[in-house]
Amino acid sequence: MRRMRAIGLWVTLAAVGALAALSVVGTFRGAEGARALFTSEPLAVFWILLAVFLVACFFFGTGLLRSPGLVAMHVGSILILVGAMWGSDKGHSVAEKLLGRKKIPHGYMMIPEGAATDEVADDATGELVGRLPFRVGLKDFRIEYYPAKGPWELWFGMPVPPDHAPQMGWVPIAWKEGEEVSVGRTALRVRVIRYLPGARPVRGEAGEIAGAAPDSRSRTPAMEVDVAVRDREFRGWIFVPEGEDRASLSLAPIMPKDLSKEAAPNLWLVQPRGMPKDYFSDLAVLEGGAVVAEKTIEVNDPLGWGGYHFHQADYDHERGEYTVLSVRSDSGLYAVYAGFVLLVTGAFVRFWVERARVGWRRRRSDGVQADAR
Amino acid sequence: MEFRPTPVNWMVLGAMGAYVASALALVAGALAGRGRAGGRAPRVLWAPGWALYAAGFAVSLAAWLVRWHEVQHAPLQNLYEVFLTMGALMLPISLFCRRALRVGAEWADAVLAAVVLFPVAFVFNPEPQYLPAALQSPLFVPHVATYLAAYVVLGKAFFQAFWCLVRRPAARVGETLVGGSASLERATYAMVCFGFPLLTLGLVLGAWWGKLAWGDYWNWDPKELWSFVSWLVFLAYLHFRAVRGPRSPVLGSVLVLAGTACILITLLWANLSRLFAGLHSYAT
Repeated sequence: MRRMRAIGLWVTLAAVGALAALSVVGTFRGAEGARALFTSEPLAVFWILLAVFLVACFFFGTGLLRSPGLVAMHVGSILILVGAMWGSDKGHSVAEKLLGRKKIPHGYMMIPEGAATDEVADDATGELVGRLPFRVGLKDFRIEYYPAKGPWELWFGMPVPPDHAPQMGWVPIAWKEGEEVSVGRTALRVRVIRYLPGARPVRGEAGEIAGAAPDSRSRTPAMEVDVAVRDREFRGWIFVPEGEDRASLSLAPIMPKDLSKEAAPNLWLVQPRGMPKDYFSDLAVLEGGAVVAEKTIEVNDPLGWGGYHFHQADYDHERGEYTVLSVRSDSGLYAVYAGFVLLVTGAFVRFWVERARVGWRRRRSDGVQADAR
Repeated sequence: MEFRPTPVNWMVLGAMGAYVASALALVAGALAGRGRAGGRAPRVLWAPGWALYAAGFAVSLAAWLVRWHEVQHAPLQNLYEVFLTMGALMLPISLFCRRALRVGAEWADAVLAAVVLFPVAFVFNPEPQYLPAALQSPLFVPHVATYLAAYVVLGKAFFQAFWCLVRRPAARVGETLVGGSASLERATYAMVCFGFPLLTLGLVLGAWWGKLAWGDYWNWDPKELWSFVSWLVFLAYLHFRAVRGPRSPVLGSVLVLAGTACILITLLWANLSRLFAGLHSYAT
């Protein structure tokens, strides 16, 4: 029995050593290289042998069965291996051959706002790899941004707020306090007289906002500008109320319907955008034309439906008009999750609970012997 | 390498000073207690060391809380915040190890705390950063905090294993400060038994989070692989110890040192080196 244990130990150490050595090789190959290495056919044989060896540990007198923690850890490891193999590309092809169940292991979907699709493309090549038995539609996609540090942006354009990216109808103004700058190809000239990073309104006799004064407690700015078009000139304040992220000043006094036939253009003071904070896709699952499920997904909160998970992976960086979902089959996933739970629980039971119990018994027996003496 | 005079860094500097002073005071106390009945110096000799250790902890905890207030999220995002957290974790773990596991050598813990705080004050960038979308998860704090606790515990195991290997040339002083070979081996094993479940939990929480955030619970990312290698090396040590018992302290210690080296690579090299660019590259 002792000999079996010793052999078992050396086989275990050899397997663990081989896995560690391969993992180190994998780290130098990058994620794709490591994936190719660990999903290659020789490694598939290794994974199967490892699972068989873990099962064999229960039958060769290694003392495993005496410890619930060790049993849980080993069963957990077996479940993780089996679940991972079942969920792999090769596992999917085996399931298709044996059970006739066709499932796409992984891929991605690109869905424009207002559209729905069942097409899944290959992660690497972008080619169509299959169709889902249902369609996934994107009702809306939106991005939340962190506020950027630094002075707010000044834009010239339509009476509706600009969307941060230069586009038809709005022109960004590279302003500097005290300097006059021309605005794009227009005849407009803008001079920022004062910029107050934190400001409160100064009201006139009728209660209207007549100006602004510095206020260190305020988190919204105000800007006094001097605007000129040819011989017409106009001075005014753009004041951003607390809690708002933009405010405008109508240029009607000097540009009545000059650029637009419907309304005079505005100057916009807009909070600059920092890095994206989160992305949201309002998804709907359609079967036979009817909506059967809806969910707003974001990073870390995917949609699960019909044996697949849909994760927020990417989006249209220029206009935010389409979303990219990563599609993952859930085959084998719940076996892996069960394995995770058993592995972790087993580790705590074996190395914390069982060791504490042994120590407690030892101290108790030492106490009994001391009493007897 | 330069000191950036932020309020947190000044506090870190203060904590480092207290930790170094406490290590010196604890060593002095232990040496003064050599040869006495019970092997322990009078309270007047060891109490200052513990008081300084507690002061270092209080200051580093305060620095950690100030940082939290600055960045408006648990400060576990990048290497600056991770090392700051480890500096504040040391005393609670020392106390737990002394009371529950009978593992001492707190002077070494204080040195380790000062060592992990050094790059916070002098190397890493203290500029606050926003959390990227992937890090805004309920698993962010449990995953990182569990790993950090595991690293600190296994750092303590490293020290016991290291002394187990170099015990002979430094026998007299070494045994006074950390105990004999048998107790060192047992202490190493106790620390690994304490740290390994935390390492396992950290790994599994990371895998679960990876599934939710990126779609796969295992992405073969270099940092994932290095953390897996660390786990495997400690797994090998535990198998080895299960069969050999305390009879092979040298080989066991070598495995623990190798495991700790893998942790260092996971924590530092995998993040800082361009060689291992991957999904975890933001955590620098």
